[in-house]
Amino acid sequence: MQIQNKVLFIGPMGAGKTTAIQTLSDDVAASTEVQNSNKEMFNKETTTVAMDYGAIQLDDNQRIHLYGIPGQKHFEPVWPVVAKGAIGAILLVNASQPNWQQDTLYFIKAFDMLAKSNSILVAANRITDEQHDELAELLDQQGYCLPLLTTDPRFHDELVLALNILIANLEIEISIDD
Amino acid sequence: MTDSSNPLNSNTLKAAFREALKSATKGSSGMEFLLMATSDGYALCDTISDGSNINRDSLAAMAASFAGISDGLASQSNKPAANGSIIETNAGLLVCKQLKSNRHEVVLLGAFEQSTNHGIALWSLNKVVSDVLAILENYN
Repeated sequence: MQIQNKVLFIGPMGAGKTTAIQTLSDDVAASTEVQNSNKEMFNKETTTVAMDYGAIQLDDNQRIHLYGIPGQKHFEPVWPVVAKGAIGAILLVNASQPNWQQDTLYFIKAFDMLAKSNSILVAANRITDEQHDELAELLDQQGYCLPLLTTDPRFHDELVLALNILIANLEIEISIDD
Repeated sequence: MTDSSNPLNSNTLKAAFREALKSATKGSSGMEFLLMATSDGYALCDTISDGSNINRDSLAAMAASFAGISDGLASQSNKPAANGSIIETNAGLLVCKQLKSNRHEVVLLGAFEQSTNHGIALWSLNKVVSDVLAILENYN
């Protein structure tokens, strides 16, 4: 039997959500990119306004639908719409961005239901060893027991590993609950 | 946070948009309000009454998302470059139009009373679209 699940990609603008979904998806991913009018926030040409979508056949029995949220905070009303039915989320953190620590906590709190059930994996990119330790400590201080990986959103294998770890973690959580 | 280098943040341009929207709302029966936003969801101007409980910033973000999803849906259906979309509610129509000039992309949302039919709503909004596009082109 084919199992179908939905996984979210969350994180601020410029964290790599669109790139990750494009990298992971078996087919060409769908996106809702428009001209970025706020280059002070993040200096890139386009930004996601509704969602990204892709899908990957993780193994013979499991197809994962990948949904990316629009990362800018004024799109927060859209997040629950995109998140509906997701079993877990990969939180992308770009540690070269200013305020990456606050942003990380902001997104964890915005998706509190997933965080509380340990259904979020934190995938950091452009991160130094010191920042990695800082992030691990930050999560620990806030009482979150979430898997933390260094993952480049351009590398398929790293993302597949992240996805597999997230799903394995979810299965462990379900078996503990049972 | 705003980007002062972005012409859409020009007060002159916003004032011109505001006037176009105000005059369209006054001159059209059945139009409740108009809201204009950048295509990435920042509110530019609107004709929502001051006493209204509508959150302009959230509405601007949702309008941009809706325009974005309309573009994506059209593209997936092999009908690229959506120009607009309609939401039918029990309390009237919402019509969203994507406007693009050489340099700018904006979204225009029109809310119409229950008694206004699709044809009138589209006709009314298209008149505003022409005015806004003229302003955008002239500003370039």
